[in-house]
Amino acid sequence: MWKNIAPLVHWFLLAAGAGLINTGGFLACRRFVSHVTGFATMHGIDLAEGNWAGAVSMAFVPLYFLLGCMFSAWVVDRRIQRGLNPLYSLPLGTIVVLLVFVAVAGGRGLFGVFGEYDLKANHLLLALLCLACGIQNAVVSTATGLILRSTHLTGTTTDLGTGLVRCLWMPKNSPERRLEGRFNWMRAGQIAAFILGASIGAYVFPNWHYLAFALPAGLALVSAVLIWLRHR
Amino acid sequence: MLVLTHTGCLVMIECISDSGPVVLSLKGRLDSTTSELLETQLRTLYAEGHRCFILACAELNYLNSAGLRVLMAVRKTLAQHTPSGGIHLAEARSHVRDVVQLSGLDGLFPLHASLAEARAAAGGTI
Repeated sequence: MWKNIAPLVHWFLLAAGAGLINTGGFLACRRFVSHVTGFATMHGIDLAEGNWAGAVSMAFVPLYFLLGCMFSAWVVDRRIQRGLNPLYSLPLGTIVVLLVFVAVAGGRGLFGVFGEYDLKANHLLLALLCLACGIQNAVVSTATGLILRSTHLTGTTTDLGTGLVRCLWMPKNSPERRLEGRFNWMRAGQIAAFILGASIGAYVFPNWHYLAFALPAGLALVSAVLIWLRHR
Repeated sequence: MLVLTHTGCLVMIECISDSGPVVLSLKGRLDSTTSELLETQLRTLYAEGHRCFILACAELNYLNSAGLRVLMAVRKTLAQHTPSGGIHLAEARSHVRDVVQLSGLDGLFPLHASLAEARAAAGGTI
């Protein structure tokens, strides 16, 4: 049983961390964090309303997500393509540093008052959180062969829906069905971990404010250590 | 020695031995774009009468769920006609091993540290 679950634990911890980050970002500045579609939508709305500063901000924030993905690709995927071992701990360590910085700098007022939207201050907050999410999502996607993602649930839910229907028409007790069933449990587990993280975030962020970003930082640190132990 | 090579921009499949278990060397990425090449290769060898395969994965950089599905499909064909047939994975790098273990398929596709170990497990001669 544990043998089956062990390879999943660190990815689920990261999914819970993503839930925490999204809740924290939303409660801090009323914006979802790892939601590129949402930023594109907000950009369109700001453009239509003539809110040029907001439109520029919403257009740039997803670029940090992209930068995060590129950084991960550089230290994970690029190394794999060159025949080297991927450095999972480096991007995860970077996430820890980013989130600890957010927790400390937020506590000192760099991002404005927690819960109040301020374009200039919150742009930096969203940029840092998006950067962390981009790094994390690319690491998980690459490391799990696209079976799992981490920081958003749309793709996972799509895969789950497709996988559930596949299971329906596959012959009972066939290996393919067992494989698809395992994939589905993994996807459902990732969604549950994200929701659990988001729920915990809803309790801790209103009390701890920016300091609560230390929690997902801790989860990323534990994940980095677990992955390092598996690959050493 | 039989040498068959499929060269695409993303994957190269080379059959390096057909005595005993057939050893296929995989290089590059095994994903939705390239897994069809492997399936075609394995099914061709199956049609020629081969029932046991070792995939040498030392230079396989990437494996995803599409690649695993192809392995499952071929293994199903093997299991239907020859219970002793199978697919073994040798020299897989840590991230490829991770994907196999993550999927819970290391029971169906045994992972071996070396080709010699895989050949011994597959019942072939070293």
